[in-house]
Amino acid sequence: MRSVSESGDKLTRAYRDLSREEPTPALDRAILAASQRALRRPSLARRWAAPVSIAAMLVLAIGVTLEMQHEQPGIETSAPQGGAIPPRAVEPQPAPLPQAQAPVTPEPQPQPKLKREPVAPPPATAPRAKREAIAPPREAIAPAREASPRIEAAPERIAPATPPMQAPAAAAGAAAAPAPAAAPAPAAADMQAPAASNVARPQALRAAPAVAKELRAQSEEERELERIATLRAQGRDTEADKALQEFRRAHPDYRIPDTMWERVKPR
Amino acid sequence: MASDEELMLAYAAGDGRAFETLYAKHKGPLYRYVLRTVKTGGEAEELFQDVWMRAIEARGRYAPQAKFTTWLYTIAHNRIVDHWRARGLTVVSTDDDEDAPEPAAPPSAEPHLQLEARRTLERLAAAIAALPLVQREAFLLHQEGGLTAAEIAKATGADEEAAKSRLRYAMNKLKDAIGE
Repeated sequence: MRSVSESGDKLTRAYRDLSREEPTPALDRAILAASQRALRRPSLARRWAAPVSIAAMLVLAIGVTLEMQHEQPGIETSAPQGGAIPPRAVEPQPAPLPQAQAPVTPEPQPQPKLKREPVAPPPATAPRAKREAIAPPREAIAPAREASPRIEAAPERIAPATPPMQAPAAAAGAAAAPAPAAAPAPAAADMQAPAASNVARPQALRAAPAVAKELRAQSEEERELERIATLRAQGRDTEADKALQEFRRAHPDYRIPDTMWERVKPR
Repeated sequence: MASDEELMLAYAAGDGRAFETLYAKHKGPLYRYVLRTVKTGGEAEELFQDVWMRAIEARGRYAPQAKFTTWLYTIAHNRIVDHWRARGLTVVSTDDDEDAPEPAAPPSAEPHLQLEARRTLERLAAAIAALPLVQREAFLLHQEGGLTAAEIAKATGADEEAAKSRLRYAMNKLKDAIGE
């Protein structure tokens, strides 16, 4: 780089001698005024952070209290089901685990708690199935040579995190028999990468916190773009336009890959 | 004197003067980068203002992991790409240089040095305008933003070798144009 600069000294001087255009004073005033206005009104996130936090805490506290009141009598008696359930499964908190076990233990289980199974689907499987349904054709679309650098770079960063992911997955398989949704078709494997990276994230955090943080932020942005693409696909263009504008405001330095842009761009 | 990164953090914390300092320092280079990339004054003003508005709105998310200029020019690059996309244009890499227009002819002997200097500048301006987009952008980011090849790569989403190559191509053509 230095050699490039040095060899271009005359060029640099000539370039400096070119006219030095500046923004108009009116433009200066408009931008500076906007910068001051922005300081006077707190950002939307700051304005709502405290009320939303308090509301979330209240909902959580009330929910936990109600749950405890409902489950106090006789909860321990329903836990041991043939002794095949690992200790984690009998804890009162996780509803998904007993549900995942249902296909493996077909013998009748008269415990009253089983009645809740149909109304307590595992929360992780539903969004995943939805994501598979709207799976972007990332592999099918040949990425432009340079236009979508983040998409090209993502597999490299995710790849090291993939092996550790199998340990929790195997552990889950040992604890509960594989639920139908846990055995996806090979074609859907790539769409499970974000979920897998979530599982592997603690190890990545330990290994390289900065990389993990960037990965998390990136996946957050990708999720938001997926949501906008879904809105667009559903024909909800007004909402998609608004969401895209908000996305641009929140992430001005995020480069939307060309393939994703095709899915989210204003129509 | 506070660095750009410290000034931006100070602005995010509520110091309006810090933004004024930052703006005064970067407005000219950023404006020229935008102007010479899109070429028309009206578009340049709109984009320039939009870039600063985005920087203002994103102040709370600013983290000084990279140089402030890299962050600012990344925003500018993204805004320009959005601008082109909205007009149905695509940024196409032309690193191979085959379709690039020929730079202006080298200078011929002129009797008056002053006239020659002016013509040199005219040739330079014409050669910059004739550069392929990605090369012009790399050159402007280097000259106006003071970005290194690695920082250009980061701001434009290219890999570092491509950024170096674009910068080298651009400078060679411009040097030819001014007869260096």
